[in-house]
Amino acid sequence: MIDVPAEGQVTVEFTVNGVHHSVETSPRMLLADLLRERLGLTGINLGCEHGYCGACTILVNGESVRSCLMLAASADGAEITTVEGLSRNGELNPLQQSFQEAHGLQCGFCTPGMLLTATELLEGTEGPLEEDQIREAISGNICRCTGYVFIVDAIRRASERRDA
Amino acid sequence: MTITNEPRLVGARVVRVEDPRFLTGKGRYIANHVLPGMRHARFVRSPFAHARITGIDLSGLPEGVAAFTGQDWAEYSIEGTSRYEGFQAAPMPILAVDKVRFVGEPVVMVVADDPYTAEDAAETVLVDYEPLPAVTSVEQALREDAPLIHEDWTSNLFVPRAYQSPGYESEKAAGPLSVQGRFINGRHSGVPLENRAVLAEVRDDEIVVRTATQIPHLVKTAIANAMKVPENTVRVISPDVGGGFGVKAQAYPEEVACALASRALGVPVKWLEDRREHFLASHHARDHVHDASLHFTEEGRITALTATVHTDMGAYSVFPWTATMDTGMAMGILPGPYKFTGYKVEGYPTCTNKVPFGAYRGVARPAACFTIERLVDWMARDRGIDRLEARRMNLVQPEDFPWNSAGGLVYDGGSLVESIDVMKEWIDYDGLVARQAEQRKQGRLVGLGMAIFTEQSAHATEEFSKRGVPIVFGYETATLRLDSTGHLTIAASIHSHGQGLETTLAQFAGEVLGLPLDRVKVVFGDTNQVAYGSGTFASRSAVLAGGAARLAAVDIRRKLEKIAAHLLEASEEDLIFTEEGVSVKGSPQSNVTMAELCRITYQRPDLLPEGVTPTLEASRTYDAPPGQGTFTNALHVGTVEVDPGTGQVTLDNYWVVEDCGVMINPLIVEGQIHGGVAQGIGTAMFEEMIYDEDGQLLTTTFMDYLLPTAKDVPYIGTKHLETPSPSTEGGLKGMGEGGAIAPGAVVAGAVEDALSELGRVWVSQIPLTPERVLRYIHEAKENG
Amino acid sequence: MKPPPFAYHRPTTLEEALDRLATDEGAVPLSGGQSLVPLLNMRLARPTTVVDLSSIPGLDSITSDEGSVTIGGKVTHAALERHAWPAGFEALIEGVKRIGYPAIRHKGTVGGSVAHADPAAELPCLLVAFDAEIGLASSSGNRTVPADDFFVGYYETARRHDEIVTSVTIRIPPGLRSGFAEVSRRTGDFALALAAVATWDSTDGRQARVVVGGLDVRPRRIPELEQRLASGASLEDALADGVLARHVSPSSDIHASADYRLEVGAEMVRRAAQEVTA
Repeated sequence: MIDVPAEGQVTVEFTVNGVHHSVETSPRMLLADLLRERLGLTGINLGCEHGYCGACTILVNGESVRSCLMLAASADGAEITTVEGLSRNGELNPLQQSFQEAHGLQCGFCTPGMLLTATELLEGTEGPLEEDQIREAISGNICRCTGYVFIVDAIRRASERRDA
Repeated sequence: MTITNEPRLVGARVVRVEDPRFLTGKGRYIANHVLPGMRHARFVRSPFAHARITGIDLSGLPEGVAAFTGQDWAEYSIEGTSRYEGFQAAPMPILAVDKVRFVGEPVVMVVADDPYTAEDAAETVLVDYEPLPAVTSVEQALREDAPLIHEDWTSNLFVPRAYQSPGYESEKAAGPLSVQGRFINGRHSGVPLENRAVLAEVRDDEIVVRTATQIPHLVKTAIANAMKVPENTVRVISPDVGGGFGVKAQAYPEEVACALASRALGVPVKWLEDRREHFLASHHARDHVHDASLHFTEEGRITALTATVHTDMGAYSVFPWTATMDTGMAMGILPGPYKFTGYKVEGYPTCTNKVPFGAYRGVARPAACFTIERLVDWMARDRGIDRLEARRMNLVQPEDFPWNSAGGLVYDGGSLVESIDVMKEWIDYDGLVARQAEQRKQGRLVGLGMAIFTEQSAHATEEFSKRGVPIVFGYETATLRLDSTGHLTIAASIHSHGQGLETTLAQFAGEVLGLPLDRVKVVFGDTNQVAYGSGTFASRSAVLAGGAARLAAVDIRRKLEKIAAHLLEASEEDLIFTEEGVSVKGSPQSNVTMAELCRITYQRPDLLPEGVTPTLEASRTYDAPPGQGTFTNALHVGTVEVDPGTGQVTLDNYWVVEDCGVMINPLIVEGQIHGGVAQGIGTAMFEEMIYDEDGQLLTTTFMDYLLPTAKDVPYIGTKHLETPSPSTEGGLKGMGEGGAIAPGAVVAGAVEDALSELGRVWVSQIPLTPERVLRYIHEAKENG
Repeated sequence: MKPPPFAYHRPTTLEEALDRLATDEGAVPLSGGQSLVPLLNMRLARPTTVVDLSSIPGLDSITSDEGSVTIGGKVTHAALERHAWPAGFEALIEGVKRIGYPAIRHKGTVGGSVAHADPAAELPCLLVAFDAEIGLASSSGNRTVPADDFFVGYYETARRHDEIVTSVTIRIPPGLRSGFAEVSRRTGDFALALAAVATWDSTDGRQARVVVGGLDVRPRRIPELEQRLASGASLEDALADGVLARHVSPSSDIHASADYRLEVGAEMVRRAAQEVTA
């Protein structure tokens, strides 16, 4: 049992992009802020802090979640993937390449969250994806720049690519 | 100038060079910048729309927290004063001094160690207010007995505007029939996904303000003016910005506040706006009410337009646009792409107790397009003419260009009529209309809507001078340097925040020198690094900065031609520039790589021809002719189905035929169209900033202000026509905003069409919420 | 928008959690966080302690037996979506899909949603329609409350401060059929109006529930419509006669007026009912 007063520190252990971390933080620290400020994972963008825009989306134990709606303390024992975990040695992975080829990003602010939601979709499905399926999956990720057309295109391309 | 035998980057669907950092989480947004000793700011904001500040109690502040009030900074302000005669000016304070004029106006600034404790500290600040009657609508503001928001003014009107074309009275008489309406566009905002953000520090006697802005140089000017310091002691850096759309194209008090606080405290001060603050205090837009009448003949020929424009400009005039911009622009473009010449218009930009009103993609043109296109639809219905044909016969025809419009603009070219033919064939318009008519007879509420427009883009000095803005911008600057290894750096005064300018500028200028994209780097955003210019807004960057860059590239090329001709013993006209380097036409063995040519220039001045200096740098400004802007055009068509029991509207299809002149990168053009259309759909169906009668903003979260999601925006089909601009470099026109202009009119027209079997309605207000549509359904049934 | 300070307690047993709730008046349980954390971020909730239930084992499965289904309080909306429901649960399947967006459904829980009792939420309305029993645990004992009695008022339930929602149980009577309809501005938004309808066989003949949500401070049953639906009669006359207005007091807000809500509420009842009569 963990019991920490408001002004105290709680120890949180988790794995991020394959690397194990143990950090001490205040009870009210949001997971998004902890990952950004303490681990330097600037790919997590804060667009609203009330769970609507999806820019802060990360994968926790393989599932997409809003990191702005999780307390860092609740992430104890979790396996977390952020956008930084998608590329290896600075090389874009097939999904990221698809986004670039299809012009599926403009200002880039929604992009990390979009990529992780797409990663979850691709990992949970097989074969080329339909437009409706893709739009449903990304319905919780707001993009203000692209109008979604090329994002859908990018994800469809990635789905076709993975079977090739 | 022509370049022959060159590889053409212009027109290529090149992928963006800037993408990798965004795809890997390395975007350089302000929130990601860290400076040693950095502290965090939080603003205490007014909970009243109109009140006197009677006391501020800071005694509850925790130890170590600094605070500033309006009294500390009463001498500083931002001025957005128009040069129009009679304009009533009021400076925008940095922190409210003795009065607050809108809910959300900053009153106190606290500075603490981190955002959490800053928010805690802000809660301990107690401000006493004496509420005053709030002025929360244009009607209220313009009444004789309305409370004055700025007490030294004579009314709440910023300045009245009026224009009448010379032949108006006779033209109006020549069109004995008319349709009229009151056209209401809700208050909206661009709502970029990244909130505003500032990080200010004083370093080596320089005030360095990092801020998420579209207009770095103009913000620098505003800060320097506000703080009354020389401009060369201020540096503004705008790195990556997560969307702007005009919201980040004004100077804001928080930018000055962070600079002042940093100077006072001797530490960097960071402020990250939260989403609630963004709704309250980032500038709004779109809030137009037009009363308009269209006059026409029995045959459906339009002769005149009479209109009154009211805009709710909020409590202060913004810098640099001033509170007159939206009214003035609406007045100019209300006649649309039509050739009637009778026009009488009045404009009333009004001051109210709401957050100030700034730019948002399209700026007044969405409202203007809504009004004129609805009127044309109603005229067509009245005359029993097909809506596209009604447009065709009233449009400026190909042989009419250049055309002096009723609004005083010069339409310099375009493919308006052609776009109708292209669209009709592409979507099988006649077939579609017939099918929908059948479906309506079977009880389905399906409809089609359209809007056609011409858009002023890349307008420059002449136009902005006419608008009475305090700083007449129009030009952009590009400084190019080709280094000793043959790599080109373009420092441009615009700003890229999604529209791919790092790539398109490289395409447009790089091809002059035959350089592949990976040897061209575009830098922008740092006022120390780039020469003065205005920034990115008004669909102009590719044209103006691109034009400047291209001209500078040509300067460098001319110099290289002299040097290469000398080295290769050839004549300058025979030189060809390709990715391999420079060679001589007809003698391929006579060549030199660009890298070698550059190395020689910098390091072997002894080998240079007489009179040629050992540098490869050029700087040019470009004030694109004609100063009045070059005009794009587009036709949008959309189809909807309306749920008869709930009024919900599903937008099934959306097609755009557009002409933005020569395209540098069609991929980027399409991305801009899609994004603009999506925002237009938000304007048409989902988004609205709503204040109550006390001036409280009711829409302060994403639960209240609804942005379109991937399920709300359909697939958007695009087709391109290309009518080069007759006057700009490369024949380019600007197009960043266009997509947002038409959707309001398209959706309104489609809904009206969908209800036509039930009865006749006049849809004249957006957003079309389900409730508004259900009311139109009832109205249709009553009228039917 | 950062949370105010609070103490953090993460017990490993349900008893520990219940103890803390019983002794600390300002303590609140944290389940999926999709309702609580936004309130914390907006500082609309200022608990003394947040009791994080995430380390408590169990409470997170859906079990079926003897003609009923029991859903643990920590079961997520996503798990509800994935579950293979027997015939008759069409309304639940449809309704859960309308809760927020995928990422919200991954974390949001049944217990959390039920305890939060948003008047326009799908789950409370559905649970009243299915005649569900809400299981509550506290350090002074356990109890169950029928859903219709559980939802009391505006974000107000019968849950005492020291209780946690540990389960929701739904009987599966013979001949169960259900229907659901919702109107919202965008798919994942809270409903402007929604209706959940269920019918089944009993020893007293065919039974029906007609429940509307988003039209009042809590989900409301409409008895006149239930009688008609159970007897196979048309609902149309009653709806046209304004039966709904006699049972609900919808509010007007920026998204819709009370009048609109009433009108579309009736339409939602029509559509939900069609699904059980077709």
